[in-house]
Amino acid sequence: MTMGEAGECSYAASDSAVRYVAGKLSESEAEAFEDHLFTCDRCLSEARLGLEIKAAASPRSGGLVEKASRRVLWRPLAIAATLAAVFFGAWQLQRPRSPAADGVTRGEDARALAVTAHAGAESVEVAWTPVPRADVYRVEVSTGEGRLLLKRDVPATSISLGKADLLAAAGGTLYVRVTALDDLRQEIATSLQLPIVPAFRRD
Amino acid sequence: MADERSPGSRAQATPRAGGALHSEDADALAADLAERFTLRLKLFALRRLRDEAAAEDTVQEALREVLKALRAGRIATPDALPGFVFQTAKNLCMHHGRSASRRQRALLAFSRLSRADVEDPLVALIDEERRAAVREGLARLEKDDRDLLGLSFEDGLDAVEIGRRLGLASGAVRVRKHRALRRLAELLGEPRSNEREGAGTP
Repeated sequence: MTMGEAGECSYAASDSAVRYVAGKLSESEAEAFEDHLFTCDRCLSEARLGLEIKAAASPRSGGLVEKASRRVLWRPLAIAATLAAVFFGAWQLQRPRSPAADGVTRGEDARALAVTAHAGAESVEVAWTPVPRADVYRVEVSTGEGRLLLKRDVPATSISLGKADLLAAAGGTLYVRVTALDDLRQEIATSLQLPIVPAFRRD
Repeated sequence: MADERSPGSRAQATPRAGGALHSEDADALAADLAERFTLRLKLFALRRLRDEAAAEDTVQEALREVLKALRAGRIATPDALPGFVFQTAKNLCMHHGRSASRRQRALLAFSRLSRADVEDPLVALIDEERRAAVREGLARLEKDDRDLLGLSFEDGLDAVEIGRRLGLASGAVRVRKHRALRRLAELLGEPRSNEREGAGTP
């Protein structure tokens, strides 16, 4: 199949190449799409260019060694950042507010938003200040080693993280970051890393 | 990465009527198979094995197996060739996966890194030179095209979601995306009709 206008191919009509590049196809869907790629030049071209666009958006990984050494530097920075987040969050929640200074995003230059967390017996409740123009908030939870444990987009200004979300790292300190995104998924404000210690343990 | 051929070139990689090939065709046939299937095989193998060297071995092994089958006249019709190549690669990956999975788990445990720490192996396939060229191509696109490709391939949003955000029908988003990809391909110096499919990826 040649690369004509969109709609000539049923896989193109279901955005399979986009979902393949994003890793959003199930294993059986991905395999069926790869089978299709053996006969469809149009989808192959889209998947290849899509991967190249995705790759262009990030510098090439330095591999395991570089990642490991980066982590050594990251750890003290994370501790400093989380301490700053705690003080900043507390200040944000306690200071008097006015309609003109709602939240912490004050104009285009403001880059931080305040996050608080409460670890209960069954869940961790995370809440943050609203950001004007935010369409969704991206919540990311990482382990102390920097491994991303959870990434979720929510429209509200709070989220409840249950055992199932955090069990893989139960017992250790986790770090939460919230990023406000506008309707084009552009970042408009981000929090610092907030440390949380889930109260629950593995059964 | 070798080129992937357009459908018009497929006849070159098929057995002649009657099965066995003449010896003078062997080199051309091997080259043609590699041009047409290398990228396809590499994507398939790399996503399963998550190891570039193992994937490269699988690609070469699959091409050898297919070539052998073509020479022996075991692939009856040209239409059967893509399916045969796909199934050969699938069998090789399954065989490799059984022995490699234990080794890989041990390595990951040793390094205390999960798969999430390592760059997507399909993305890792793209070398830095190509990434720079694509960045330059994207910078030269119209902003609307660039944003649309970013929403699609960086954020992984489908046409329905992008349409919802931009106030467009999903069909219109797909047409725009397709045209934006074509313009990007042209900026990257690729032929308009996709005679060349494998550019850039190693």
